[in-house]
Amino acid sequence: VELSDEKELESIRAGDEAAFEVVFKRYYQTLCNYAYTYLPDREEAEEVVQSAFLVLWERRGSGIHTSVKAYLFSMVRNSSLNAIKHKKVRQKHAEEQLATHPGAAESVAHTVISNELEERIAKALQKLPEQCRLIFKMNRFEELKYAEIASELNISVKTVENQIGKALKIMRDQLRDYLTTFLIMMSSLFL
Amino acid sequence: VTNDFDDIATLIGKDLAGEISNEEQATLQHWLSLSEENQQYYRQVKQVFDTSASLKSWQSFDTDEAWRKMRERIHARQGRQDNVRMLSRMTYWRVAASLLLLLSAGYLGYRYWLTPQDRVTVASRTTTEQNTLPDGTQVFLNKSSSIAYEYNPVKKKRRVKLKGEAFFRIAEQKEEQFVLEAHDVIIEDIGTTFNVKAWPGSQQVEVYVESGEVAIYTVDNPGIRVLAGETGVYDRLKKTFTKTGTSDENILAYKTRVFIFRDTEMSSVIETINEVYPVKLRLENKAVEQCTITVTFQDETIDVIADIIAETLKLTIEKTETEILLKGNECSK
Repeated sequence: VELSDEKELESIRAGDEAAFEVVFKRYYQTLCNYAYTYLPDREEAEEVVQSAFLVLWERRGSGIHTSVKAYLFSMVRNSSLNAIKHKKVRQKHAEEQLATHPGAAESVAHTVISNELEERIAKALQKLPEQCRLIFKMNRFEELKYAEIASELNISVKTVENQIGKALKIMRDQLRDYLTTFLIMMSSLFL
Repeated sequence: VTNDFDDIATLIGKDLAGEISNEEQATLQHWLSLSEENQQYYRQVKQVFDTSASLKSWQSFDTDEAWRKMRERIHARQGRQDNVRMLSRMTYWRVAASLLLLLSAGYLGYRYWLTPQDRVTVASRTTTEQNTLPDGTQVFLNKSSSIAYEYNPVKKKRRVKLKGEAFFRIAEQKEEQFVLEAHDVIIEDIGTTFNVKAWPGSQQVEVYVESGEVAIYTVDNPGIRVLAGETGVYDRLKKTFTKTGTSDENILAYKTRVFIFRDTEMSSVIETINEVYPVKLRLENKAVEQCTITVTFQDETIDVIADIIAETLKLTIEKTETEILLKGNECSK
């Protein structure tokens, strides 16, 4: 994937819309799903992804030092994290004005669910501590190596190791009962 | 490493992520061999690890529809960079003829201009100003701007002179021409909404058309047609018309208070916002000018805007009555 990305990056730099379309279609789904793990709203997630592609196209890929994929993912991640921060600030101001504000928009209420285990894991993921969740997602979604995550976030590799371990432990503990039956069910299917 | 589940989870994580060393692998294998319970724990963690990656395609988003939208967006922007289309010969003659008419009308016309009906002047100082002209045309004036409106019933001509910046929503009236003069530029409306910048002392007159179409010209230059989404610019020194390639989404922000920034440098963010709000934002540290930000503000107070910027760039805020100072050094994301 990375190799063909490089070719397309060259074409995008030359202003080739067809190459841009290929990259768009290759990563759109995954990026939207990634944004959606941060943002509670599908439309908002799509807007963040559209914006990232718009910047990629308008700048003709300048500013990409690694790969198109890494660039898009990190842009989507940063925009999503910012959008969350912005929401909190707005909410704070709204609360100050209204004194009371019913029901914080913190919890993620995803409605379209394709699979129960995925749903449970998505929910467990939302409950992880912030830093822990971020690092875990960077590994699972962006497929970044521990060392890459460490350098991007300016932390030690040891911290990355521990945080991913912590994420796995917390999520497994939370889903323990469900996982036990799930795995028994699955193994019985293959026997 | 023993039964400490924290350490074990870290080891399992490294194993699953392919980051484990040989030595650690041996430790893990040993731990697994200790009990069936341990092996079950490993399987459960692996299930979490694998399934979380499959969340990548958890939801389905319509890629084809999204691409259609994307194409529209990039083409709308490129359209604005297309070549300047000159007025057709016919229109040129029409313009020339009408100018001739204007001139030959000479004294007579002059007297009508001196005694027009419905003369209205609207001026703004420190705040923006909204008004409806006698013909129903809506005007939104930026700060420190003014317009003078005159209606000539003989010529059935609505004439407006602008100083500064204003947005117009023209009331459609058949056979009644609407002509706007800004510096030496004449803007003739063909049923539309548009924005004109003609600041005193500025070398340029800028016409952004939101909907419809306008013709802009001067006495000596037949000019250009500007279509919806385009910006026509007249250079008063060079006496030339061009269309700008920059698609400034924030051109109407003084009216709408909607700002869209996409990975935009802080220097330009601050400049854009300061044009609209009376309380000014200022960066204490020049280095922060190069930090970029992606954010949309929809009719928000300057306090909320400042807070959001500060939160995003890890800056602190110091407020006075006229200014909000943003303090801090780094461009941390």
